[in-house]
Amino acid sequence: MDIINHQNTAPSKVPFAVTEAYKSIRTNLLFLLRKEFGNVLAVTSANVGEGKTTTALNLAIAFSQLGKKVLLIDADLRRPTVYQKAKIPNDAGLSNVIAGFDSFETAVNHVREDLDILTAGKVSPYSSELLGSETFKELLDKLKGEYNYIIIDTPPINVVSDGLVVSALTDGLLFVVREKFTVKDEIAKAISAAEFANIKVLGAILNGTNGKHSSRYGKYGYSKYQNTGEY
Amino acid sequence: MKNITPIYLLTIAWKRIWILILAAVVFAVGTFSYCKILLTPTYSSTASLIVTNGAIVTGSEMQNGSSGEKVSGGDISASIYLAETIIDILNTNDIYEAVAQEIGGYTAEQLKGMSNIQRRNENTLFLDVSFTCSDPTEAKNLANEYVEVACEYVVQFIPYANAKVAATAVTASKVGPTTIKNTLIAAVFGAVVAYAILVFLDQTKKEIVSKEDFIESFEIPLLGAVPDFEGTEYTADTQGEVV
Repeated sequence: MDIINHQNTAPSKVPFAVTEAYKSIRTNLLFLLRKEFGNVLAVTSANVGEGKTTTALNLAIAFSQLGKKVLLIDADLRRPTVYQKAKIPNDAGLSNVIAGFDSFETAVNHVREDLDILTAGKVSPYSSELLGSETFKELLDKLKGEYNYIIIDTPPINVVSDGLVVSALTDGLLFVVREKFTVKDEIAKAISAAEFANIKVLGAILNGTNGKHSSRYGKYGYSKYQNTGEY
Repeated sequence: MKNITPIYLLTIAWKRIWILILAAVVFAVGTFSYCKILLTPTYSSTASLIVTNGAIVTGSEMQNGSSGEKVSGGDISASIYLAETIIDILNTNDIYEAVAQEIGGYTAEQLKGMSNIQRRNENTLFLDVSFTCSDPTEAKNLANEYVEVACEYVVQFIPYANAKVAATAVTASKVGPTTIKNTLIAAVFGAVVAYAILVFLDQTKKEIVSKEDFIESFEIPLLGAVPDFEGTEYTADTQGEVV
């Protein structure tokens, strides 16, 4: 699978600045999680199209590159896309596990040594009920002991209630925001909804920036590495 | 709405400096072209009057046998005050009517609008009469005709006053349009208008435009910024590629 081929980043495809950005976010999150004593993260956005799933997947890879055992769960049961981006099957997944049709062990995809992905599974019209069920909560509690980090890709908060339902079960919420795309009022609305639901908002990740800020590293002699991704 | 601080205002200007320069150039070129192509040049010509009270005689009167021996400081002061009064007289409609009748082709109001009468400086007996119009010869003729009529008119009004033509209008100089001045003003105006629009747009912008914008707008921490990565396999949905 391609995602495994990207273990050490794919120099010809992914710019150095991008891989560095994810590693920087990972570092910030490690500090935050150490403070917060939690290991379950929800990654969400205000609306669709902000790069939430890509961010969740890349964060999972970035964490797994530390040698930590990471599980990425696609909890967007209405419009699942993790399986497409990771290029893995979606025959069985979260909805199947919660509904009792499959076991976690048979549904989970071992995409690399330290990274497992549980795709969304069959699209269900009862996604809110499934995600709010005691079974899902119990599953998460069980998995917390098995993985160092669990990252959950949730539906956008302002679009459906599923995002808040899932996030309430996590230790914190990450907002993905896209530059020159996400409207401030929408972010404020999503943050208010999360805070109202008593969900810890860990922070935000800004996607799609113009990258000018990273160019300054050229001054310090790092620019030659930008095309190779080497250290 | 963002806080408007000097740094914020400077940042807006610096980030969009090319827009400000472009606006200044566009306004300057537009104004320069307008001044050069569409505006009619105007010319001004000046004639002068000397105004005295009866005790003071002019050089030509002395040559005709008059005596200047009786002139005192008081006479000169009186002449200076008289000059001020005569400016008021010269600005009345009657004198413009008289000039209009003499020259023809203009109304008194038009002539008044074309003329400017003022003392050369505060303590002088000289009055400068300027006429401005699109034809330099016409401006010169109007100025000369006016001072001729004015001399007769002043004596009719104030019998003890002398008003003589001190200098006739010989040339007319171009006074408008002031193309360079107008162009510079337009360039500054263009840049200021563009800057005001930029600030307004920035203040009313609804989308997140930068890291700084996010940090200013929200209290939650920004954990990182991921550059847009193009040319990767997921560019179709603009969500980037898995690293």
